[in-house]
Amino acid sequence: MKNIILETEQLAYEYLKGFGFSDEQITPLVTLGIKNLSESLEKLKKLLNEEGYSLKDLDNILHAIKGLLLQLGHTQLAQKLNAIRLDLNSPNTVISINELLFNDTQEN
Amino acid sequence: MKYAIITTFDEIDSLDFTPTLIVGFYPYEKEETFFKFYNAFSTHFPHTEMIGCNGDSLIYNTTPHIDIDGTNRCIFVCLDMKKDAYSIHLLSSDETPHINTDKNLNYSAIIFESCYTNNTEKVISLLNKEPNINHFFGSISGLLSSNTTQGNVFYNGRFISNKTLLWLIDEHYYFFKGLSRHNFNPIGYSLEITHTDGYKLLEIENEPALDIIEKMIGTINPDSLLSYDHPFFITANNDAKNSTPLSSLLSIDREEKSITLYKKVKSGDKLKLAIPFSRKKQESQLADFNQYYAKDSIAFLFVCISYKGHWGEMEPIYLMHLAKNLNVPFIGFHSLGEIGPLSENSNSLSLMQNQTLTLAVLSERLL
Amino acid sequence: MRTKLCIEDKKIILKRIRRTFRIDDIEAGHFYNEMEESLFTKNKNFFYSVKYNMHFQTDTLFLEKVLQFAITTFSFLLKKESYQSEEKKIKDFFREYLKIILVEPSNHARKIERRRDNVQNILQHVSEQLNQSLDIQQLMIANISHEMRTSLNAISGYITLIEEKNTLDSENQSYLEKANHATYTLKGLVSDILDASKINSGQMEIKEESFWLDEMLQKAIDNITFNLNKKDLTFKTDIQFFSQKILGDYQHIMAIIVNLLSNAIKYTDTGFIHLRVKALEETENTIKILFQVEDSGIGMTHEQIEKIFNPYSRFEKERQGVGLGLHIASNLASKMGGEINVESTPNKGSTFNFTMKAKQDKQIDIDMSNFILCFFNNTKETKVSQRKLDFLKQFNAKVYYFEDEKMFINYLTGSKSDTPHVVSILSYQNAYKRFNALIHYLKTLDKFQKSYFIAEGINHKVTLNYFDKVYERFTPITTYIHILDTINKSDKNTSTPNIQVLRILAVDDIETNLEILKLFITNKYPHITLDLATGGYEAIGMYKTQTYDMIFIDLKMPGLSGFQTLEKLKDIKEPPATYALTADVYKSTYDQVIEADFVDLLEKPLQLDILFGTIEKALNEKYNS
Repeated sequence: MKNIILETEQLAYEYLKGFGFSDEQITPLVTLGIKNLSESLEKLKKLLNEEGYSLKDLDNILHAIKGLLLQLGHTQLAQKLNAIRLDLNSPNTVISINELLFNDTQEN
Repeated sequence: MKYAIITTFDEIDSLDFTPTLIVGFYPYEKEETFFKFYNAFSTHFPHTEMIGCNGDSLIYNTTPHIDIDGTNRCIFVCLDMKKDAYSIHLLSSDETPHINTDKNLNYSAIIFESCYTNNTEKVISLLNKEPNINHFFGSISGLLSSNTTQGNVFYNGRFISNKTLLWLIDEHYYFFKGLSRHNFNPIGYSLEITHTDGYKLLEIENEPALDIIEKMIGTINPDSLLSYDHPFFITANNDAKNSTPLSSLLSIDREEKSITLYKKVKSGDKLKLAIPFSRKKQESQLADFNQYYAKDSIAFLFVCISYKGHWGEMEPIYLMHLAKNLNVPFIGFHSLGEIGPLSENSNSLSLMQNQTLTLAVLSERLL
Repeated sequence: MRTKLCIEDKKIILKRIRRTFRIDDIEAGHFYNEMEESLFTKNKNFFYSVKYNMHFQTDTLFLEKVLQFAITTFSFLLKKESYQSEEKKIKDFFREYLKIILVEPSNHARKIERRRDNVQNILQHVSEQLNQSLDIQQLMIANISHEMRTSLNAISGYITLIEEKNTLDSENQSYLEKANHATYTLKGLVSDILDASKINSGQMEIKEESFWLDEMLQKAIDNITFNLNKKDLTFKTDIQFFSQKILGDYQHIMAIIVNLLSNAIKYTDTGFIHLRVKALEETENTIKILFQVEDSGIGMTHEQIEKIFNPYSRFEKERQGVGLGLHIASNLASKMGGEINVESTPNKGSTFNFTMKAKQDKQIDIDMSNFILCFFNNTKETKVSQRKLDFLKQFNAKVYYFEDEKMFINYLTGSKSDTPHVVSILSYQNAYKRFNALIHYLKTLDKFQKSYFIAEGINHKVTLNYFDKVYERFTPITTYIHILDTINKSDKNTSTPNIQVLRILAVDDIETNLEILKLFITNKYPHITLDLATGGYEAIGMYKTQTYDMIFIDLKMPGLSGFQTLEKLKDIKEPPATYALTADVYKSTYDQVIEADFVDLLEKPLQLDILFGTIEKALNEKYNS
């Protein structure tokens, strides 16, 4: 999770700078974005650890995270996440999500 | 009211009236000399009462006003007061202090405390609450925690430690008027005292006391301590009136990171730092005492021991200035705590503070 | 043993004293005697006198004189053979003298300097502490008030939903109304606190927009009506008709007037409150306006008046509020180049005067040539009516004016008369029910299907369900203009061409999405106001109290979805152009969006050209259609 957050933070800065915004405008926005992202990821983690969670709930959280990633310029990750979303029934869903979002040992 | 100031045995012989009450002050470890004076007075005036206490560096009625040369004289003021216009009481620290006053009369008072104890605050509180005690003043002679500054009060031949001597005056005939002033302003936020041990501040805001204070004021060096540069305003936790008496630092302990004050503190009390007035403001404040001029009056001046460091070599000059402008002769000493009202209002509370100049002018009421 | 100097030497020294210190014989004599005594005895009075004079005198050359005297007298005495036996005494004396005039002050000065350094240290640390504290406080206030407003909007939203269900009896409805009002009051208090904090930290912005004063005053009065009705007070208005719009900070001017009126209500238990508004001075481009609120309340003493503009000052703790209003109001007034002052007498009442200068917006280009208005006024208050009629005629409106009821009714019911677009009635209280019945009839006729019937001057609760608009006092100009807009949709540029404003509502459960949207939009369109809601209910709360020019709603939100939110908004009033936002776009999404009456769908991440395209469209529709 930490890797994803750091990576997204970096990308967000570059992404928003590309629109011509100043540091003073970007910094509070990225701080907020990272906060929202962290909160959503924590929510997802908690949900995955629950027994018998609903696919609808999972889909909603993944949707929110995808939207956030897109807004913060991390298009690649958002697309990967969306690919997992398309088949939530798959037995590999949880593993894929964990690998993609919560594996801090992996080099992304 | 007739009065005379005596500092030598010869002067006793040349007194031209019979005093009814003598108030005397003596430096530490001069009990013997003081007692000799008592004997001399008793021989001349067998029915005269004598009260007094000891103090550091007495204050005289002549330039330089302070015993700079260390002559360690004793000083006495002989008063010709109506016998039933005053009373002397000894309040013990073992019992809850209690005073019997006539509800139809009004009083002024001076208290001499041998040492600052829990009883001191109880007595002050009692006197503040008494509706017919209008003004009271006082001083603390000694320290409980030190061997060198032993406080004693004196009453008719007895040296008494751990008791409060109360001199009560019927305002129909005489009265005390005066003021207690220090030279500091509070600054910054209130800090909460979180751990104490009697007179010691151990923790402030749950951090070692010395660390917190030095973070704000810089390193406290020995010179600063001797000059009493850093007193604190301390508000007691349960103080509904939110008064902020000033309290001096006695010492610091770098190992323990503690600060010892001249006054007891408790957890929950609040502390504020203090910064001194400018010279101009100090002098203008000194002028506040001039309003207490009264003809044919005598005054007692209790000056905090801190002024010996704080004003240092300038102290005699400031007292000269006070003397020239007040025009009322005064005697007194350097004390380890002063009690007096903070303002000229008749409703003003008297507080025990350090680092003040406290003046109490005794006058006869013109009927 | 010698105790005195020789007479001749005394004379020389006295002369030297007089010359050096420029003092008279008596003073010189005193100086000399003290010196002599200190020279030959242990008495130190002389040294203290010199030191005292050095400290308390104002002559800047005094130290020089003291030194000069010391050196010349010292060398004079030491040269003399007659004092050889006293040489040690003389040397000791002068050593002591120099110590007192040089060494001791120097030591003391070092002490003072050290003390000063300590004080600087303390002041710096305390200042840092205070600044930090202030920053944290500002942040906290901003955060807390934001959170509180979010929740309050949501509460307001939920209350609206319950009200709409109409399942409660009148008693419970009234409780709900009280609850709604309480959230409104709380929102006001939160805004006050935030405003005070902004003002104190210099962050309050003064905007400029063009508006009609009467409309702003109407809103201000509406704002306080609830509290006014709780008390048995007479509320009178004497508002001059302003025939030009003014350029100013609409929100803040209204806030000041609302504050003055609220205070008047708060501190008046019986009697009256009068609101007077008039122009004090008028030039070609500017106008100085006086807003005066007079009450018959508890009044203030001179001492109280001096304190009222301080923050948190309140006279009686039992009266509601945090006491920030006047402080904010007076700060706002000065920021706008105006001022607030007060005259008051205890137990008689107070008069608050708010004066300000504003630019007049002459650029009003309204064509009312096809606009027909009919006014009926059989009361004695005709001054304002007349000026309003003149104003309307100025823009080529056709105006019929009746004071006789019979003639008025004949006009309305006559078959040959043209059909007025607006019929405005100002009459006595007991007449309105009658007119209500008349309008009921008139509305059944084809002729009056598109006419607006307005009642003015209603000062008590009466059901006039056939009137289209009911005003307690007066109809603001903007009402006629909006009606005209609606009728011929050719409102040409009623605001300053340079400043095109839109108010947009954006709804998304993720704050970052909202902030990014706001950043993109306000960067390009600084005059656009964006209100942000983090959920459907909050959006409903905001929608209820504001008019929006366009809305963006995220489709997928917990609680109320975007679709459900739009449905609820439609129930309150016809929404403006509403766009759906989503990160999931399927073909079916697009169909669902159109079916739900969204104008269009915007895909996340937002493409700026598409986003700005929607805004240009909205601006076009508002200002150029």
